[in-house]
Amino acid sequence: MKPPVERDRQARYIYGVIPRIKKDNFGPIGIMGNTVYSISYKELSALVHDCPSEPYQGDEEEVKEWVSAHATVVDAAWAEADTVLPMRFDVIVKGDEERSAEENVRKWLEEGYETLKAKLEEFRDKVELGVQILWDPAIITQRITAANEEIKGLLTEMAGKSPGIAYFYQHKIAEAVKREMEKRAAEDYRNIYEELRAHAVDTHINKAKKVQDKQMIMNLTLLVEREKVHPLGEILGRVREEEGVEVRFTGPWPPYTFAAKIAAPGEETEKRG
Amino acid sequence: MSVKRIPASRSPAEVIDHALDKGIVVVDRKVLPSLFRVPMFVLEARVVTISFDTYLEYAEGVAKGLMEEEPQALRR
Repeated sequence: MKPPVERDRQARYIYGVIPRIKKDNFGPIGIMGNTVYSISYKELSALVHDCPSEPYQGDEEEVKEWVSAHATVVDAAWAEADTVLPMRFDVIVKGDEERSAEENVRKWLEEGYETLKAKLEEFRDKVELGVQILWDPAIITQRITAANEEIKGLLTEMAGKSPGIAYFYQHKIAEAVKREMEKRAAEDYRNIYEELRAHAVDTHINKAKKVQDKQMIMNLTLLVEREKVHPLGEILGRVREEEGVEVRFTGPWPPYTFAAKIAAPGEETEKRG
Repeated sequence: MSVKRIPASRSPAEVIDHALDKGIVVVDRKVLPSLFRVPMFVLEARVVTISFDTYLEYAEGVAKGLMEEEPQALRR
């Protein structure tokens, strides 16, 4: 055990916030084997470990290991308390002239008390799910080309034309395919979104990510009751039946995305693109 | 026809993505002097706006391919 004075000078790495429970020590499951314990204020507990007043920075492999440990602690807390507000990796609280690091953590819980408590109740027995829908551009393009009268007509007209004129047709066809693609993507998006949303408590729309050789048409995060995971899997199973459509369904996650929207008093959540 | 349900799953890469990219971030240094840093390797911008310009290339490629190889393919 370190002497109190030295320990007071240390900062606290925060994993997340849970309702105060009997268990106040999670053992050495933290980043680099640090002991994870709780700092509580009334009915709330922040899960922390003692650390130096500097961020964790390292090479890719090291960081991945730490982030993975962070996620393990959040999962353990989630399993224990049935609800959790996960922090993002590398949030560290230090002491200042007025208060020790531990007091600052407690003060943060105190100032955000009502919001944090309400959110923990809101997220109880709910899980976060990720849904990404991707198109194989080559297959979808061919399907659209084959099914569209206007495009088929243009292809017919193009056949037998001189290279110069055919080039002009190619452009026209490409534009028509693009228009049709956008229309189809918008329709699919709307239909799938409506169907998924009917099972969700909350939804968060993310920007499409660039994926090699694929076009992401939907990148959604859902907050759902645990028992809704299966029905959603069925809907997505149906979506995947279509040729050229790939579905990625991830989770169940602690509510990382939805917790990130919390703005407790004196804070502002980071604007994220 | 029975449709196969998709189970939700978690890969190690996605676990990292969640804990690294999501979750509560505290930015007010007065309330909570947080020392948040995004590791360098995360900074490779992974998010892009959805664009169908890629389709333009594909569509041109398809049209060109149809013209050169199978001009009759879609005329049925």
